Amino acid sequence: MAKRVIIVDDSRAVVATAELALEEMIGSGVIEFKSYLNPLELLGALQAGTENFDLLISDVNMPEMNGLDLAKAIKGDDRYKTKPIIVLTTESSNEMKMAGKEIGVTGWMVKPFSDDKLVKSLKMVLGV
Amino acid sequence: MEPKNTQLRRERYLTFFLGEEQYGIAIDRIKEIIALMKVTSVPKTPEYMKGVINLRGSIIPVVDTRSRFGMEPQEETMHTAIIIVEVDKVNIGFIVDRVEEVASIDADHLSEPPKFGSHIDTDFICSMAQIEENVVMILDVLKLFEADELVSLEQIQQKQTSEGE
Repeated sequence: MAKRVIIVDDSRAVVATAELALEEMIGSGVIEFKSYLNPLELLGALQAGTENFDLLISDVNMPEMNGLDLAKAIKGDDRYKTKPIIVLTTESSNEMKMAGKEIGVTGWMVKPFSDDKLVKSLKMVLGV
Repeated sequence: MEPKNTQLRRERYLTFFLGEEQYGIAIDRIKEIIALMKVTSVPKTPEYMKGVINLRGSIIPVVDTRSRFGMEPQEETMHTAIIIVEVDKVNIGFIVDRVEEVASIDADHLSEPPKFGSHIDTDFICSMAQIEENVVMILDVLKLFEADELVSLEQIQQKQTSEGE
Protein backbone atom coordinates (compact mmCIF):
# COMPACT_ATOMS: atom_id res chain seq x y z
CA MET A 1 0.00 0.00 0.00
CA ALA A 2 1.21 3.48 -0.79
CA LYS A 3 2.81 5.28 2.13
CA ARG A 4 1.18 8.58 2.95
CA VAL A 5 3.67 11.45 3.00
CA ILE A 6 2.55 14.86 4.21
CA ILE A 7 4.51 18.07 3.87
CA VAL A 8 3.59 21.20 5.75
CA ASP A 9 5.28 24.43 4.70
CA ASP A 10 3.90 27.94 4.27
CA SER A 11 5.92 28.33 1.06
CA ARG A 12 4.12 27.00 -1.99
CA ALA A 13 7.46 26.94 -3.83
CA VAL A 14 8.94 24.55 -1.25
CA VAL A 15 5.86 22.32 -1.42
CA ALA A 16 6.01 22.25 -5.24
CA THR A 17 9.77 21.57 -5.15
CA ALA A 18 9.23 18.59 -2.86
CA GLU A 19 6.37 17.30 -4.99
CA LEU A 20 8.49 17.55 -8.15
CA ALA A 21 11.35 15.71 -6.44
CA LEU A 22 8.99 12.93 -5.35
CA GLU A 23 7.14 12.75 -8.66
CA GLU A 24 8.51 9.35 -9.61
CA MET A 25 7.52 7.81 -6.27
CA ILE A 26 4.08 9.42 -6.50
CA GLY A 27 3.58 8.29 -10.10
CA SER A 28 4.60 4.70 -9.35
CA GLY A 29 2.24 4.54 -6.40
CA VAL A 30 5.00 4.03 -3.80
CA ILE A 31 3.80 7.07 -1.91
CA GLU A 32 0.77 9.32 -1.87
CA PHE A 33 1.53 12.97 -1.33
CA LYS A 34 -0.48 15.57 0.49
CA SER A 35 0.50 19.12 1.36
CA TYR A 36 -0.65 21.69 3.87
CA LEU A 37 0.28 25.36 3.91
CA ASN A 38 -1.11 25.87 7.39
CA PRO A 39 0.12 23.68 10.27
CA LEU A 40 -3.02 24.37 12.31
CA GLU A 41 -5.15 22.91 9.57
CA LEU A 42 -3.03 19.75 9.56
CA LEU A 43 -3.06 19.48 13.34
CA GLY A 44 -6.84 19.93 13.40
CA ALA A 45 -7.30 17.18 10.82
CA LEU A 46 -4.96 14.82 12.69
CA GLN A 47 -6.73 15.48 15.98
CA ALA A 48 -10.11 14.95 14.35
CA GLY A 49 -8.82 11.68 12.89
CA THR A 50 -9.62 12.75 9.31
CA GLU A 51 -5.93 12.78 8.39
CA ASN A 52 -3.11 10.32 8.91
CA PHE A 53 0.46 9.91 7.71
CA ASP A 54 3.39 7.53 7.45
CA LEU A 55 5.88 10.39 7.25
CA LEU A 56 5.51 14.08 7.99
CA ILE A 57 7.92 16.64 6.60
CA SER A 58 7.51 19.93 8.42
CA ASP A 59 8.94 23.40 7.99
CA VAL A 60 10.01 25.18 11.19
CA ASN A 61 9.21 28.84 10.67
CA MET A 62 5.55 29.11 9.81
CA PRO A 63 3.36 32.07 10.78
CA GLU A 64 0.53 30.10 12.37
CA MET A 65 2.60 27.66 14.38
CA ASN A 66 6.27 26.76 14.79
CA GLY A 67 7.15 23.36 13.26
CA LEU A 68 8.71 22.14 16.50
CA ASP A 69 5.54 23.01 18.42
CA LEU A 70 3.57 21.17 15.76
CA ALA A 71 5.83 18.11 16.10
CA LYS A 72 5.46 18.25 19.86
CA ALA A 73 1.67 18.39 19.65
CA ILE A 74 1.59 15.46 17.19
CA LYS A 75 4.07 13.37 19.15
CA GLY A 76 1.98 13.99 22.27
CA ASP A 77 -0.92 12.15 20.66
CA ASP A 78 -0.76 8.37 21.18
CA ARG A 79 -2.02 7.73 17.65
CA TYR A 80 1.00 9.45 16.10
CA LYS A 81 3.78 9.22 18.65
CA THR A 82 5.73 6.56 16.74
CA LYS A 83 5.28 8.21 13.32
CA PRO A 84 8.40 9.73 11.77
CA ILE A 85 8.71 13.49 11.39
CA ILE A 86 11.45 15.19 9.37
CA VAL A 87 11.98 18.88 10.01
CA LEU A 88 12.93 21.32 7.25
CA THR A 89 14.93 24.31 8.29
CA THR A 90 17.14 27.02 6.84
CA GLU A 91 19.51 26.82 9.79
CA SER A 92 20.50 23.77 11.74
CA SER A 93 21.62 25.16 15.06
CA ASN A 94 22.58 22.71 17.79
CA GLU A 95 20.04 24.30 20.07
CA MET A 96 17.26 23.56 17.63
CA LYS A 97 18.49 20.01 17.07
CA MET A 98 18.50 19.38 20.80
CA ALA A 99 14.96 20.69 21.07
CA GLY A 100 13.94 18.47 18.15
CA LYS A 101 15.61 15.42 19.65
CA GLU A 102 13.77 15.94 22.90
CA ILE A 103 10.46 16.09 21.04
CA GLY A 104 11.32 12.94 19.12
CA VAL A 105 11.93 14.39 15.66
CA THR A 106 13.36 11.71 13.33
CA GLY A 107 15.63 13.89 11.23
CA TRP A 108 16.55 17.28 9.87
CA MET A 109 16.91 18.57 6.38
CA VAL A 110 18.46 21.94 5.59
CA LYS A 111 16.74 24.05 2.92
CA PRO A 112 17.32 24.30 0.04
CA PHE A 113 17.43 20.52 -0.17
CA SER A 114 18.46 18.58 -3.26
CA ASP A 115 15.98 16.21 -4.93
CA ASP A 116 18.31 13.28 -4.28
CA LYS A 117 18.65 14.09 -0.61
CA LEU A 118 14.90 14.29 -0.16
CA VAL A 119 14.25 11.02 -2.00
CA LYS A 120 17.06 9.26 -0.14
CA SER A 121 15.90 10.44 3.29
CA LEU A 122 12.34 9.52 2.52
CA LYS A 123 13.24 6.03 1.30
CA MET A 124 15.40 5.48 4.35
CA VAL A 125 12.74 6.57 6.82
CA LEU A 126 9.89 4.73 5.10
CA GLY A 127 11.96 1.66 4.25
CA VAL A 128 10.78 1.62 0.63
CA MET B 1 -5.16 16.62 -27.77
CA GLU B 2 -6.59 13.11 -28.23
CA PRO B 3 -5.84 10.50 -25.58
CA LYS B 4 -3.56 7.80 -26.95
CA ASN B 5 -5.68 5.02 -25.49
CA THR B 6 -9.05 4.60 -23.85
CA GLN B 7 -7.60 5.11 -20.39
CA LEU B 8 -8.03 8.70 -19.27
CA ARG B 9 -4.73 10.53 -19.25
CA ARG B 10 -3.85 12.78 -16.34
CA GLU B 11 -1.06 15.20 -16.99
CA ARG B 12 0.82 16.97 -14.23
CA TYR B 13 1.65 20.65 -14.43
CA LEU B 14 3.58 23.11 -12.30
CA THR B 15 1.41 26.20 -12.04
CA PHE B 16 2.51 29.76 -11.27
CA PHE B 17 1.17 33.27 -11.26
CA LEU B 18 2.10 36.34 -13.26
CA GLY B 19 -0.08 39.06 -11.80
CA GLU B 20 -3.62 37.69 -11.63
CA GLU B 21 -3.11 35.10 -14.33
CA GLN B 22 -2.23 31.49 -13.66
CA TYR B 23 -0.05 29.52 -16.04
CA GLY B 24 1.07 25.91 -16.16
CA ILE B 25 4.06 24.08 -17.60
CA ALA B 26 4.16 20.28 -17.98
CA ILE B 27 6.32 18.97 -15.16
CA ASP B 28 8.42 16.68 -17.32
CA ARG B 29 10.07 19.88 -18.58
CA ILE B 30 10.71 21.33 -15.13
CA LYS B 31 14.21 20.92 -13.79
CA GLU B 32 13.82 22.77 -10.51
CA ILE B 33 12.45 25.79 -8.72
CA ILE B 34 14.85 28.20 -7.09
CA ALA B 35 14.53 31.44 -5.16
CA LEU B 36 15.40 34.57 -7.10
CA MET B 37 19.16 35.01 -7.21
CA LYS B 38 21.60 37.48 -8.70
CA VAL B 39 21.12 37.72 -12.45
CA THR B 40 24.08 38.97 -14.51
CA SER B 41 22.94 40.87 -17.58
CA VAL B 42 24.32 39.92 -20.96
CA PRO B 43 24.71 42.58 -23.68
CA LYS B 44 23.13 42.28 -27.14
CA THR B 45 20.33 39.95 -26.10
CA PRO B 46 16.56 40.41 -26.54
CA GLU B 47 14.98 42.80 -24.02
CA TYR B 48 13.15 40.00 -22.23
CA MET B 49 16.44 38.22 -21.53
CA LYS B 50 17.15 39.23 -17.97
CA GLY B 51 20.64 37.71 -18.13
CA VAL B 52 22.30 34.61 -16.77
CA ILE B 53 22.61 32.95 -13.40
CA ASN B 54 25.32 30.66 -12.13
CA LEU B 55 23.51 27.69 -10.63
CA ARG B 56 26.00 25.38 -8.93
CA GLY B 57 28.50 26.02 -11.71
CA SER B 58 26.04 25.85 -14.63
CA ILE B 59 25.34 29.05 -16.51
CA ILE B 60 21.63 29.35 -17.20
CA PRO B 61 19.94 32.07 -19.27
CA VAL B 62 17.04 33.70 -17.45
CA VAL B 63 13.92 35.13 -19.09
CA ASP B 64 11.97 38.01 -17.60
CA THR B 65 8.66 36.26 -18.18
CA ARG B 66 6.58 39.40 -17.55
CA SER B 67 8.56 41.23 -20.20
CA ARG B 68 8.26 38.31 -22.63
CA PHE B 69 4.48 38.42 -22.19
CA GLY B 70 4.37 42.18 -22.59
CA MET B 71 3.32 42.71 -18.98
CA GLU B 72 4.31 45.63 -16.75
CA PRO B 73 7.38 44.98 -14.58
CA GLN B 74 6.76 44.30 -10.91
CA GLU B 75 8.92 44.73 -7.81
CA GLU B 76 10.46 41.48 -6.64
CA THR B 77 8.85 39.97 -3.56
CA MET B 78 9.66 37.08 -1.25
CA HIS B 79 7.54 34.91 -3.58
CA THR B 80 9.43 35.77 -6.77
CA ALA B 81 11.03 32.57 -8.04
CA ILE B 82 12.93 31.19 -11.00
CA ILE B 83 11.57 28.04 -12.62
CA ILE B 84 14.27 26.16 -14.54
CA VAL B 85 12.72 24.59 -17.62
CA GLU B 86 14.27 22.41 -20.29
CA VAL B 87 13.47 23.91 -23.67
CA ASP B 88 14.84 22.00 -26.63
CA LYS B 89 17.81 20.67 -24.59
CA VAL B 90 18.63 24.12 -23.21
CA ASN B 91 17.91 24.84 -19.56
CA ILE B 92 16.24 28.24 -19.27
CA GLY B 93 15.13 30.06 -16.15
CA PHE B 94 11.76 31.84 -16.09
CA ILE B 95 11.18 34.50 -13.47
CA VAL B 96 7.64 34.22 -12.10
CA ASP B 97 5.74 36.22 -9.48
CA ARG B 98 4.72 33.19 -7.44
CA VAL B 99 4.83 29.43 -7.72
CA GLU B 100 1.42 27.94 -7.00
CA GLU B 101 1.33 24.12 -7.04
CA VAL B 102 1.78 20.87 -8.90
CA ALA B 103 -1.64 20.11 -10.34
CA SER B 104 -3.03 17.01 -12.05
CA ILE B 105 -5.35 17.77 -14.93
CA ASP B 106 -7.36 15.17 -16.81
CA ALA B 107 -6.69 15.37 -20.53
CA ASP B 108 -10.40 15.79 -21.23
CA HIS B 109 -10.51 18.86 -18.96
CA LEU B 110 -8.16 20.71 -21.25
CA SER B 111 -9.74 23.03 -23.78
CA GLU B 112 -8.66 25.17 -26.69
CA PRO B 113 -7.10 28.52 -25.78
CA PRO B 114 -9.15 31.68 -26.35
CA LYS B 115 -8.31 34.08 -29.13
CA PHE B 116 -8.48 37.13 -26.87
CA GLY B 117 -8.79 38.21 -23.25
CA SER B 118 -5.28 37.40 -22.14
CA HIS B 119 -2.27 39.68 -21.76
CA ILE B 120 -0.25 37.39 -23.91
CA ASP B 121 -0.15 36.26 -27.46
CA THR B 122 -2.22 33.06 -27.48
CA ASP B 123 0.36 31.33 -29.68
CA PHE B 124 2.24 30.43 -26.49
CA ILE B 125 -0.78 28.73 -24.98
CA CYS B 126 -1.40 25.15 -26.01
CA SER B 127 -4.49 24.61 -23.87
CA MET B 128 -6.52 25.84 -20.92
CA ALA B 129 -7.93 24.19 -17.86
CA GLN B 130 -10.02 25.07 -14.86
CA ILE B 131 -8.51 24.42 -11.42
CA GLU B 132 -11.00 25.33 -8.73
CA GLU B 133 -12.03 28.91 -9.51
CA ASN B 134 -8.96 29.68 -11.63
CA VAL B 135 -8.40 29.24 -15.31
CA VAL B 136 -4.90 27.95 -15.97
CA MET B 137 -3.19 28.62 -19.27
CA ILE B 138 -0.89 25.78 -20.23
CA LEU B 139 2.21 27.11 -21.95
CA ASP B 140 3.97 25.65 -24.93
CA VAL B 141 7.45 26.75 -23.86
CA LEU B 142 8.98 25.95 -27.24
CA LYS B 143 6.77 28.58 -28.85
CA LEU B 144 8.09 31.23 -26.47
CA PHE B 145 11.25 31.29 -28.54
CA GLU B 146 11.99 31.48 -32.20
CA ALA B 147 14.27 28.69 -33.38
CA ASP B 148 17.18 31.09 -33.83
CA GLU B 149 16.60 32.52 -30.35
CA LEU B 150 17.12 29.09 -28.83
CA VAL B 151 20.35 28.72 -30.73
CA SER B 152 21.55 32.06 -29.40
CA LEU B 153 20.51 31.11 -25.86
CA GLU B 154 22.52 27.95 -26.19
CA GLN B 155 25.44 30.03 -27.38
CA ILE B 156 25.12 32.37 -24.40
CA GLN B 157 25.18 29.36 -22.14
CA GLN B 158 28.26 27.90 -23.81
CA LYS B 159 30.09 31.23 -24.00
CA GLN B 160 29.44 32.10 -20.38
CA THR B 161 30.37 28.61 -19.24
CA SER B 162 33.67 28.62 -21.10
CA GLU B 163 34.48 32.13 -19.85
CA GLY B 164 33.78 30.97 -16.34
CA GLU B 165 36.28 28.13 -16.58
